[in-house]
Amino acid sequence: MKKILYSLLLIIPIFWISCDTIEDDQKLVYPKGQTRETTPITVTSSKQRVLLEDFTGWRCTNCPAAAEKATELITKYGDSLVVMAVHATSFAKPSAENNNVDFRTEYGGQWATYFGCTSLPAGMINRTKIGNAYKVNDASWDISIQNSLSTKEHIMDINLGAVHRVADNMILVSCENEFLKNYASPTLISILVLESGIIGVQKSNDNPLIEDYEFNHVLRKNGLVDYFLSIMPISKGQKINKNYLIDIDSDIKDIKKCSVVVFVTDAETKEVIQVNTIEL
Amino acid sequence: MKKTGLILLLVIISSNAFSQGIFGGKVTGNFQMDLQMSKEDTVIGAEKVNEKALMNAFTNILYTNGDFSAGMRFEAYLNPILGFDKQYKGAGFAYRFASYKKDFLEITAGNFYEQFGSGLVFRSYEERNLGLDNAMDGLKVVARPINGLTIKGVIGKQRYYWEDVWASDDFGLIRGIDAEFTLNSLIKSIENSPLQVNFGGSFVSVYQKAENRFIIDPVSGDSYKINTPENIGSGAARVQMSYKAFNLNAEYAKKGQDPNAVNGYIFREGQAALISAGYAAKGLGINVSAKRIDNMSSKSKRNETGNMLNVNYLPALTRQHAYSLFAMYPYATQVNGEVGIQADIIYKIKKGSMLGGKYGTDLKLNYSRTMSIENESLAPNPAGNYEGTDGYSSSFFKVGDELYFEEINLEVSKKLSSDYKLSFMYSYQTFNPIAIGHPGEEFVYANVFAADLTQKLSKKNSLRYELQLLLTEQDYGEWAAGDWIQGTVEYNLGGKFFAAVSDQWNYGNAHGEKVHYYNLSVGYTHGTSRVQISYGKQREGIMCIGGVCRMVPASNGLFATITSSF
Amino acid sequence: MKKLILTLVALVFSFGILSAQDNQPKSELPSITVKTLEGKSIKASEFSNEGKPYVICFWATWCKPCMMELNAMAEQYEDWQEETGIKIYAVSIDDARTCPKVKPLVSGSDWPYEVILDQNSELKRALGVNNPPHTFIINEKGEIVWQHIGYAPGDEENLIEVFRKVIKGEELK
Repeated sequence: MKKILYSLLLIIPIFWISCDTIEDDQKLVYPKGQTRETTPITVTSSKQRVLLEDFTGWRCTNCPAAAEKATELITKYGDSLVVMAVHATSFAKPSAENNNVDFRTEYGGQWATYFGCTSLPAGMINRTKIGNAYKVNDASWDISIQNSLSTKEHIMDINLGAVHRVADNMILVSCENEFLKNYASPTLISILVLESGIIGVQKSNDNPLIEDYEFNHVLRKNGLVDYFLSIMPISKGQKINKNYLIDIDSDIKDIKKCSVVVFVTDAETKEVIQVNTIEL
Repeated sequence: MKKTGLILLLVIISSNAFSQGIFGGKVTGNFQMDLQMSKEDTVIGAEKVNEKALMNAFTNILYTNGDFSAGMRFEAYLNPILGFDKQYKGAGFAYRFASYKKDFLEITAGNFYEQFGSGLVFRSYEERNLGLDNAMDGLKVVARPINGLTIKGVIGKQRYYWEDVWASDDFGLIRGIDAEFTLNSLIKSIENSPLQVNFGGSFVSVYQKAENRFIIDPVSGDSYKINTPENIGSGAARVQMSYKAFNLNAEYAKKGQDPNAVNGYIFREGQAALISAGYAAKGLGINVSAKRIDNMSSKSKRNETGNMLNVNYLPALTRQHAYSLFAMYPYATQVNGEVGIQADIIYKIKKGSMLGGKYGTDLKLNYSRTMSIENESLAPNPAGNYEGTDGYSSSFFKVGDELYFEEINLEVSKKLSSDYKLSFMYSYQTFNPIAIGHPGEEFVYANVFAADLTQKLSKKNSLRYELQLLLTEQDYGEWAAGDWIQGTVEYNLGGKFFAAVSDQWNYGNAHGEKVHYYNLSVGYTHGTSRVQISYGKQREGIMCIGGVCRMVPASNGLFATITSSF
Repeated sequence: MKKLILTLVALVFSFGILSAQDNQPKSELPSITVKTLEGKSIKASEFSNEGKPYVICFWATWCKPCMMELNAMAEQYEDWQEETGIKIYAVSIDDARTCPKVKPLVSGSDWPYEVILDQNSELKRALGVNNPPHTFIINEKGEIVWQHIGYAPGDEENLIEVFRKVIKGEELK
């Protein structure tokens, strides 16, 4: 009896004998925002596109006119143009008047300051300096976009796939970045979520307070900004595939009205090299 | 540490002063010292040795008193001889233990060695001449509660040169348990049955703190952290059966996810299988063994390369050679993956028969072949290599394309008369240089011959003549340098004194110098003490014992060994 | 942690020394468990030759002089047995690599010895053996009375001479 008891004591060590099993998705810890999961690529592009950043705010009375301009340009240029409405500066500061709706984003505010787009409406075409400034008045948007499309080199294509994952409330974005020419400078990539069709309060020149104004292409929070895409010179034909996970901004009202915008910029000049968008 | 050792030493030495020892106990031990004086020799690549003399020495002292034993080992490497890792430099008590048996329990505290089954998941052992020592430091308990059941439990950390392994988290903690059942002792009714069955199983777990290992994507500069598991478990099951003249041994082991420096940090689990079957009758012995190893390197420190800190033991399935030219291209187990078979037939042609002659003839035939395992690479990681991925997939029953080693070997020994005994050995070897880290080099094919004649001059004096010949077409590097011939003459006087002269001549070397590795040795044995002095050139090569190899660098000079047991 | 181990060592040491007196062994050989060729476990302290002296030889399949020794003794064994009733335990220190070769070698060479497997060299260490071949003669009381290392042709004559003395109970110098 004693012998059996003693032997049983020796069984205790079995509990020391543990074995860790690491699941597939845990083996490599991807850098923040990136993931190994993929989603099928559904949007491809083979032409140069232009990014128009429209800096705006609900208090800015001239902005509705600029927004309308942007809408016209979308009709004119089709999918060669991607518009992003960046709500920033004190013009976008919420108050009880607009039901405390806040469309500002941290990075939006930083861009406004850095690129000198603080008196609104202001816009940027592919973040390219025209003259001495990045800021382009809405009157010159049309001509600037035309110039950009005709002169800008077609360096790369961005093919996208995106899906909204209900299970963990994330957006999974798969990007295939294909370089068509050698490119020496380091590049950065940004993955942002825009929401359209948001009804809210907007001041205007014609009408002091529009209660049911429709906001489109609104830049939302939790975007991934300025991630390194390449730090070494890229050769023609090189493909860089990356997958990103974005936490959905809790302020988003309707995920079905959202789209994902991905643009690649030159790390030194800040210029946008290519942009693409995909609806969710 | 030193204090306890000194106290133990004092107690034991003083016990020797009494004829009966302390309380009737007994003191035994052994001692060995190797001394080397080597000078620089550019022809054979012997490195310049700054020290006048290199010395390895150790002494074991063991005190036993019935069911109790204690002991220690003092080692000195001042400085370590060539071929021993420089980290051995130093001196001290490398081993100390106390062990007590009571009833069916045996407890050992301190350092110990132990093996579970064949050692596929756990083997702690020493091979002093190769500088291998992965002694455990901790606690071992062996229980034999009933006749036929043995349970072993171990916990501890392994030795790493002179480092204090307990002071650092870098060295993993090993915990293991093994149980073995001798069925015929457990079940009395089949005790004397012609069918004898043993079976056993073990579990081992190594705990080591997670490592901060990153892979960097060269294109984007992103860094990815590899999530290294902290507890790595392995298990093994074995069975041993014998029925009259037949026997069968089989063992299977599996290791959990263990990304480490040896396998390139892949998450693939490891597997090993060993099987051996034999037939033994009077005058005839046959054995066939097969093994498969897939990612089974297990160390108690994840980022360790080299020979230390092995938790398990993966034997090579090739013949161990005693004649040096036959071991010119020695094979070491490819722990990351290999499949091998080996067959032995040993036959004694009866004395008086026509072929056997007056005294009988011994025939030994051996064949071995080792190949790579089937290996299909999986998707690489963002950095382009396989770290952090599962690495590769491999089907268990498929063999890979790469041949690592093949050998067929025949040995004939015959006593020609009462004074002359002759052995003749022939081997044909195929060797893939990838096995010693030279991928891309062409295969080496060699025919090796040896003739060994012993002549009895008188009842206690003898002469031995040995001639070896290695013929190969391959001659492209220091270690594959064409044909060799070796001759040795050894004189033995009264079993006490010996002198030997030998020369190993690389006469077939078309690229470099046709070096003569000459050597003169003398030795004297008295009871359990022996002194041996050699002078000459030692070829750079691999010294292999049991499938684990140590590179011995070229040396030119004096080598002396003194050993004694007391 | 190291202090804990040292404390354990000291504890086992003192406990063992104090209680060891009760258990005087019948044999001087340690009670280390080894295996026979059939797979049965046996303690070295249980080695015996029906009250007569016996021999223990350490060997390995890769040790040439050991093979020479065992072959030379095998030739004389029948005569030796008739004369002295000698029994030889041939302890193999072959590890997992070369162990499968032991059984076919023993039967293929037709050796008459009691072959023992000491796969992890535990008995070798306990008896202070450095390198094989290493031979011991144990007398009828279980004491080690003679040891010899190495083998040269003719050494087996030495062995049997000493053994004859041990059988007669003579004192060895």
